[in-house]
Amino acid sequence: MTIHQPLEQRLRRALDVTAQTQVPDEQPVPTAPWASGDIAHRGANRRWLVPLAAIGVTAVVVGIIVASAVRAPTPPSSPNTPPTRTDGLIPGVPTTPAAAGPGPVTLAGADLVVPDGWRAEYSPDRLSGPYTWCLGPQSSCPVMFHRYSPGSTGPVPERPVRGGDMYNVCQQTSPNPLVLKQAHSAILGRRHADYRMWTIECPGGTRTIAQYVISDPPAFELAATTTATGTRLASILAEMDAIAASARLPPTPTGLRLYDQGQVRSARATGDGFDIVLWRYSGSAVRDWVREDIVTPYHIPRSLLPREYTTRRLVGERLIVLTNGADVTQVIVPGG
Amino acid sequence: MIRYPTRPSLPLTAETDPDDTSEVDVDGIYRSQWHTMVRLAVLLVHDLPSAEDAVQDAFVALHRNHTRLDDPGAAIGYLRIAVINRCRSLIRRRAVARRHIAAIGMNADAAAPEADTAIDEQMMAAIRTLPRRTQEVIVLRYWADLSETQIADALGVSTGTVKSTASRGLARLREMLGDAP
Repeated sequence: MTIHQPLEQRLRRALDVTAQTQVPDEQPVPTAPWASGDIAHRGANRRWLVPLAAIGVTAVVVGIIVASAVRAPTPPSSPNTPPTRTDGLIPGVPTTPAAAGPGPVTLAGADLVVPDGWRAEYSPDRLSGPYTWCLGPQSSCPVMFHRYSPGSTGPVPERPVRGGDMYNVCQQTSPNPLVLKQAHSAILGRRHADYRMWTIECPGGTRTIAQYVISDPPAFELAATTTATGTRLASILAEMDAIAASARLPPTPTGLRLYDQGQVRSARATGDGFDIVLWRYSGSAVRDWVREDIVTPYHIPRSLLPREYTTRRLVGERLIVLTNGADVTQVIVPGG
Repeated sequence: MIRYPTRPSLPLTAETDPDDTSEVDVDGIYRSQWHTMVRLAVLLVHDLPSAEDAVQDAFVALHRNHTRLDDPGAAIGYLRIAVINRCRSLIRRRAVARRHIAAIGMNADAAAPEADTAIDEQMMAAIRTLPRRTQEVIVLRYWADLSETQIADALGVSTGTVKSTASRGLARLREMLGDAP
């Protein structure tokens, strides 16, 4: 190309100023079209996009809210004060946590032991809903404890994307991927949970994210996100493991998991859909899935699957199933 | 408050990670690339609502097709091409309006804007008169900081075409703006 520095500099500046003026950094990212329902107007005619849209809504909302660090509009007057409003609260669940520590505390119906030198600080926000507490030394929050409620504004406990429900963990844009380090079954509060750990290279250094997630209602999450390394990281993870081991969570009723993923082991057509048995896989991205020794029956209404699906087509298929605790509400066919 | 890069060079060029063979995180790409792609589109279509529409369409296409990408690391490249293609469609549909805008932009009698923005408006008006492909090359080269090879891939042309188009575009801008080499 012909080099003519003054013109090129002027050209670059003109383009930069125009782009930046038209689309300033502060302009919020709108809801993804697949999450807003607008996708139908853009030529989509695939019914399986509906569950993906629902996932997208959650993901984008979570991402935007995390990015903005927006707090609930009516935060409690003190960190340990329970919510005074009733929206988003689960009927029957205590809203007066003994949020202190160290020692035993009861948080949203769950008994936990806060490690020595740590405290539990009530920390609700629009991201995680009203049942969220920070666990850690004074003025830091390396571990978060959260209770989910079906149908609440909180995120789905698991998500088929890298990072689970941890978005913008760098607190700014990072071109680096989350790298899955561990994914296996675990115990949280005497209940079966999924444990996942990722690392990501953020501009400020390596960040580690670890999660215990229980997707069966009542669903809980115990998660750590930290830039600590070495013995300090090991200490935080050890404390989280100790909390998980010593916790006692409300028992699960007979409800379905809020989220499940796995391979269809068998399928039978019924009047309005299919009865399937799903062989559970743990992991995050599909390529990381690891089969567990857990099978669960589900009834899937035909309306939740692409039309071409038959029992033969279903068997062996990998599915992600979302429920409201009683019924399957969404089915995602990864790669479908 | 999340900070997005003010220069698009990193997200636009960090599209291939040979070690990353995992799935495409469309939601993550949407959040991290939305500003960059809208900026690219607005420089091509010169109209923010149309740019946003083109970008939303492109993301929908990525959302639908990301599982078919042979190389998940190429998602941003796919997205960029989708944005360019949709901008082209918009421009074709608005051909009359584009000519009108270009005519206005080159009107020497137009009211002089404030000094700080005068150069910008003059340059942008000149860019708008360039042929569509020349505009694309100019924007991808001088705003997105893509290499000639990357531009060639994005536009589906040879690197030789990129070079000659950029050269002609600069010459035309120089001619219009009175900035002799």
